[in-house]
Amino acid sequence: MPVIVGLELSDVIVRRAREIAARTSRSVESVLTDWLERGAVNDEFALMAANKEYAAITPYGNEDAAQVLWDYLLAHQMEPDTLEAP
Amino acid sequence: MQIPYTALDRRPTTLMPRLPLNLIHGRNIVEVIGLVASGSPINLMPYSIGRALELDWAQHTTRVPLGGDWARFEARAVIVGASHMQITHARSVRLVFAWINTDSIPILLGQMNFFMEFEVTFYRSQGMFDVRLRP
Repeated sequence: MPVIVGLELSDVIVRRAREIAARTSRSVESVLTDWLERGAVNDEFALMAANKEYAAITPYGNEDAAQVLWDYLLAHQMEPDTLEAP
Repeated sequence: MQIPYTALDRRPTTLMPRLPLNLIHGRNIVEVIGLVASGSPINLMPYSIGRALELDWAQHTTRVPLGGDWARFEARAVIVGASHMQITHARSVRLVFAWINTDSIPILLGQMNFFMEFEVTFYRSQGMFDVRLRP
């Protein structure tokens, strides 16, 4: 769930964000959010130590869909088999 | 059973593991060729295949939330039978699909639940793959 926070930014940062926002036809807020998200990803990687195994930190995609299908399959497991062809 | 990779045209880059299957629902059987996609978390069925099996979109109300390129499409959970003369012999296997309301995708046979029902080994350098029913 998105949360609104207040930040005190330097003039330099604000000026850069405004320039990019104008150049890319986006809002200043959108540019700043983008910067924060990229910084967060960089920090996650920076905290990783060499020669140590980590679980994949980014889901491949559609894991939620797979869970829905799995639940659906289990819920319909006991139904009479109507799948057979004549 | 060993099955050769098939290409869409003469380019070797289009070689993919494609598996012919009969999909079964009620008295309806549809012959399809599915892309065996170990990187796909789910089985995916295009809309027209479901209609050919006489599946009723309105009756299948369990929505499947798709992400990535498919996120703009709606999908419903369906279970159909799948058979292959040499692999499943006389029986059919229950496969659960995300039935998607577009025909712009191939049939994908993914982890849930094709790879739970079939053992698959890929030999890409030899241009073939091996498929058998799980023990």
